[in-house]
Amino acid sequence: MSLITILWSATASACITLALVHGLVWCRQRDALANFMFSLVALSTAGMGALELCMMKAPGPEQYSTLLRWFQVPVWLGVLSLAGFIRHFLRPTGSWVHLMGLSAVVLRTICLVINFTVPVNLNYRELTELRSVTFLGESVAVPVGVANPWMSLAQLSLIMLLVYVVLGALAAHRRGDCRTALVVGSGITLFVLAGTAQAILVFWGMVDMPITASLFFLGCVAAMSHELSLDLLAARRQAADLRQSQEQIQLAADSASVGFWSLDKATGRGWMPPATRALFGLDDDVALDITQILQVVHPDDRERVQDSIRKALDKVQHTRTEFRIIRPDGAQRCVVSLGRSLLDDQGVIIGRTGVLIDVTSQRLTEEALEQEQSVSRAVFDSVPGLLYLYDQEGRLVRWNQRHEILTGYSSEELQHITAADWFEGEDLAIMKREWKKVFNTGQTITELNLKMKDGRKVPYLLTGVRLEIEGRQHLVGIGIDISERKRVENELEQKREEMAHLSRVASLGELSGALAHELNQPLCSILSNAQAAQRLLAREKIDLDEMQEILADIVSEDRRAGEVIERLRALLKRGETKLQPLDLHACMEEVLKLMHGELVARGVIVARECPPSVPAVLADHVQLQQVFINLIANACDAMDSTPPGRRLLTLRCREEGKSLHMEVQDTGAGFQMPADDLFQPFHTTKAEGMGMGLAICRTIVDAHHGRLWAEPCAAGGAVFHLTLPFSVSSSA
Amino acid sequence: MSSNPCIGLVDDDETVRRALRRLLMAEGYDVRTWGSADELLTSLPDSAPDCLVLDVQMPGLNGLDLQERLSSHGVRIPIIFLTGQGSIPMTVRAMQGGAVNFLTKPVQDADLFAAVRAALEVVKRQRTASRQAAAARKLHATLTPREQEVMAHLITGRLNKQVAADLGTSEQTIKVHRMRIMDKMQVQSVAELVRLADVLGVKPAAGH
Repeated sequence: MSLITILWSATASACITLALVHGLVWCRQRDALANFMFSLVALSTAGMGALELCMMKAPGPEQYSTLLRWFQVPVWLGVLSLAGFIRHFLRPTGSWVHLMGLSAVVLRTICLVINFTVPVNLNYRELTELRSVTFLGESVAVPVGVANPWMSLAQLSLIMLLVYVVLGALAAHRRGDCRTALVVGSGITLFVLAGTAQAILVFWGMVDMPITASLFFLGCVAAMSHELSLDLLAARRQAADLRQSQEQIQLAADSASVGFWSLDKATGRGWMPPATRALFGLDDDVALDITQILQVVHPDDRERVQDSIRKALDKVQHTRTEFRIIRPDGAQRCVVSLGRSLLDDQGVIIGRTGVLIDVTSQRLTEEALEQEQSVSRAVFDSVPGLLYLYDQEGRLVRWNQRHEILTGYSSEELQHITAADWFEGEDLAIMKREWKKVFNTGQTITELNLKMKDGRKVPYLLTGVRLEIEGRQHLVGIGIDISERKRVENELEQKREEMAHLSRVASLGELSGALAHELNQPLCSILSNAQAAQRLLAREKIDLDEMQEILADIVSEDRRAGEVIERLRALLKRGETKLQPLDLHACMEEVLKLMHGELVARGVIVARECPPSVPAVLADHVQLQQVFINLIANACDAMDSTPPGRRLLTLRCREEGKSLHMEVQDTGAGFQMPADDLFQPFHTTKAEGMGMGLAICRTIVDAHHGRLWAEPCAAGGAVFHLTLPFSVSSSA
Repeated sequence: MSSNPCIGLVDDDETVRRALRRLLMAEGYDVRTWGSADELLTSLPDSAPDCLVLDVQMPGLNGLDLQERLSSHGVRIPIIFLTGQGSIPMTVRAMQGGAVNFLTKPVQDADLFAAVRAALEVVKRQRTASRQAAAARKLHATLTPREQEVMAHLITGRLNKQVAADLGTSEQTIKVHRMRIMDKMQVQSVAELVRLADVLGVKPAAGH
């Protein structure tokens, strides 16, 4: 076989192969129009090659002319498909640019019509003979004839095509696709120009060689093929990338429990990736129609979901639907479906697509949280008293239901209440102090009167504990109504006071002789002074100075008697306990004054061992006097058997830490029984005693947070000890 | 002895002391006061008042103690007690001790003065008695020992015959002794003789 035959046949077959390959690509992928156009270009090149080979072997001008006429068909196809390739591959923009491509094709089509209507073809008006020339070492036929002027129309179309190619290349270049622009643009331009030039030279008879347009087109094809192949490679890589990124998305979707779905309106068929199906517990081979999907939805939610799908398919909208599904394995999941409408080019709904989020664990957490909250709410509401949470600024943040019932304030009112609103006066001051204490030391417990909505003041035991919530300090605590306890305490206190009073009256009864003396002294003085004055006034000469003195004495003695009566009245009064800072030393001196007569009558000598002044104690004046009267009277009684002159009553007081310590010591008979028996009720050593004196003294001292006890004295007699804490203001 | 009787006043309460002093002085008595029994005792021998007004309740020696003390010293001053509140045992003790009166404070002037007057009357009587006693003693000293012996028997109120039998002598002798004794003692009757014997402290002879 000759070289020419091999060369042209190879060209044709190569082009056909390429045409087939890209034709198949287009068949699989209908939008790959560039491949289709390339396929046509390759096909036309193959056609050209075949016809050229036949023309080279043509026996006579007649046959050659016919072949040449048909040669125009693949050329037309080549131009057409080349224009198409440019359009779809290089994608030039602008309507006039496309007009250029279209014009080239139209012109070429006109040329084809002329080719078949004007004798003998587009290239020759008349083909006279065939010349035999040697080409590639072989004798081939070359036409001789008169060139057809219409041929310039074909050349014009080629030029327009080339312009179109250049514009396309420029557009690709502008898009940044420089290599494609260069290879395709310059390749096509170069080979088409060369092919056209060679053909013109042959047809005008300027060169002695056959038409080899197919070889030049082969160049074009090669350039195009090169770029398309690279595109194919890039596409494959993109496909791989896409798969990878899809996998990544799926991974992300899986880990976030996100699934995908779509629904075709026309068929009612749905689509889900395997992972999403797994979420529904649906096998891969189960067909996904709406009914099938609804089967999985929880019966209670089914109607709602169906309704939502129906509406969403009728109207363009974004939807958010939450529902439960029960998988075939029985597991229940909670999902949220976010969907949007799928539209075609005309904006008609063709289906829906969306994502599916598994919110089961979220809902479970929420449910658990809600449960936790309801438990804590129940705990809150089960507290029998107040339960409150304040922020550091004193605003009430949270409270239990009973808080509203007990205080009478509604929930709305409580929202605007601050801690200080509950208190008044001294309570408010204490509350403010305790409030600071909580945030300094962590906790407190105190008793205060709470002002309710209706104005009542109710005693409450209040606790406060510091609590940090979201980085801010709060106070949490409870309040318990202690009015009942207070009432009982008050009753007890009253009983105690009554007892103390009775005992006081009894002690004073025992002392009545001495007390009468105390009163009779000033009365005697007054009476005698007055009667002396009467006598002096009856005289002729009145000594006014003497009178002055008498009257002054009367006044002062009257005052003295008044004081005694006042003291007695205080002691006999059934008063309520009044704690106030008290100078115990002065209190004791008053008692000694009151009992002066008794002490004198009994021949008791009093010795004092006290510092000039001692801090005050918080005590009830009368009750403390009562204690002293009892202790002193007891001491006097105890010393009845002691010889006169040795009856010594020693009173001591001294500071001892935070309290005052007093001692009442006698030189009497002392006591033989355990010291604490002395303080038992009805214990007495006296014929006329009730035996309540010391017992009541002890309750009085206990109520003052002090201590009262007795000890035998080494030198004989007894010593009674009394301690009382200093009042806060004096010890501070 | 001055023209006015002197009243002694012991009370530990100064204002009471002052008031009573004023009252007594207004009545025209001289008054001496002491704040305690001890003060009185130390100043006693020199200036004994005619009577004493004592407060019972005083520190140290009380009124009753003072009464005993004075009595044991042989000081015989009539005492009026004053007390803020007197008890029966206290009163009994005081009266046994020879108190003239026992008054409670506050004391009415009339009561006080009555008591004082009574006390002074006692003093007066005592003084009269002691004067009589001194005279009687002088007369008694003129009797012979035998006459004194007979007198001791006479004041028993027994008959001359019985006395004679007791002394182992004749009734006539006793009659003579009796006349001489009555004469020397300047009495008209045995009753008077008995009174004098009482003043003298002559004990009647023990009977058989």
